[in-house]
Amino acid sequence: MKAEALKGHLDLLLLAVVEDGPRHGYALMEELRIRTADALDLPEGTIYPALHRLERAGLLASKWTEVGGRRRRVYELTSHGKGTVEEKRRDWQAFALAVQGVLGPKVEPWPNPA
Amino acid sequence: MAEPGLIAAYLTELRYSTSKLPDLDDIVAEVEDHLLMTVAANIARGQTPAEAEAEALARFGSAELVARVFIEQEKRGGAVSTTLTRRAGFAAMLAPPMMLVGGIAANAGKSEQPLSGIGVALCTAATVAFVYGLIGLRVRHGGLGMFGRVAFWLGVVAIPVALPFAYAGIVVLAVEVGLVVVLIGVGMHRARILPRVPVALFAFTLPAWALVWLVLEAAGLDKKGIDVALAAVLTFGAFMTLGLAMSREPALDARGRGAGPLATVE
Repeated sequence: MKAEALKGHLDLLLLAVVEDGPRHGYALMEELRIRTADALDLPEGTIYPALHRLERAGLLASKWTEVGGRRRRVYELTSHGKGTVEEKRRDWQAFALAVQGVLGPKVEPWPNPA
Repeated sequence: MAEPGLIAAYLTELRYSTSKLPDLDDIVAEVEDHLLMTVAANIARGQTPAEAEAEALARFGSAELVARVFIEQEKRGGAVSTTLTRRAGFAAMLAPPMMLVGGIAANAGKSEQPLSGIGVALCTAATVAFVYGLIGLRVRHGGLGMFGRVAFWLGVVAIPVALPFAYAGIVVLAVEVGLVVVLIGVGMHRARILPRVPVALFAFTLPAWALVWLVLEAAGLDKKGIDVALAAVLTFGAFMTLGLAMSREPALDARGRGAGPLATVE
């Protein structure tokens, strides 16, 4: 799978990972890498602008903690974000179903000319 | 081979490249934490500190690239498009002309003509479209905080509140809608949300109405609803352009790349 195809869906991917529980950016990136089987080959630093925008949009909330003398930002999904994930998930499933209907296994035409 | 302190140099470059962003310190702190976690993980896998730093930076992307994406995202504000927001944008775009045509038809048809019924139906549909547009706006910007919540509910009750005032209700409605757009404008400003045209129109509505009112009053001229009409045109224009922007937010941009934060990544 080409990484480009996944980049356009980064918002949904990030929200879906955070849906499972609060995460900091590094953990998010690691989980994305594992769950996409390394298909999402993007510069790690580019997820942070996305996270900040999703927070500005009220879909994510963040809080700062201190770990080992360093500041660490942890993101979690807001109730508004949960609704958006559900909507985007439905959109994606409908889209995937439609494409699968065309690109999936071929069925015999009807009526069968044979 | 990477030099020790390479991450410190990277952070300095990033700080310089993103110096115009308001949350600069938070950005740098977050990036530093990420890079140091990556370095620790790399060392745990057997790399030397220098190798670990070099790989962490290579995976993270250049400071120039990361800064560019941050700045692009900053311009985009807090807008997150969904199917609902696109449909709501289309409804918001249609609401003003429907309300206008419906009002004219209801007035022209008087009370007993079919035209009047069509006008009332159009006005009712326009109200529904207006509320749907507001819902879409809330979804698109995460509610715009407290200002968005107040504006949303004010918008929902605006027409029912104005109805008992009969003809004076037009003024009541204009004031209510004016308050709604001002609150939305403040919320959009706080959320650093584009597009600029509707924001400017929203912001200009009340001052323009007040200015025209004052000028006509000072000149002793009959206003003939000119001040209210001007405010209505600006508000309608703002709502329509905002709806147009919302309805046209595609999943992919014209070049076929994602419209998400990585649209700027070559």
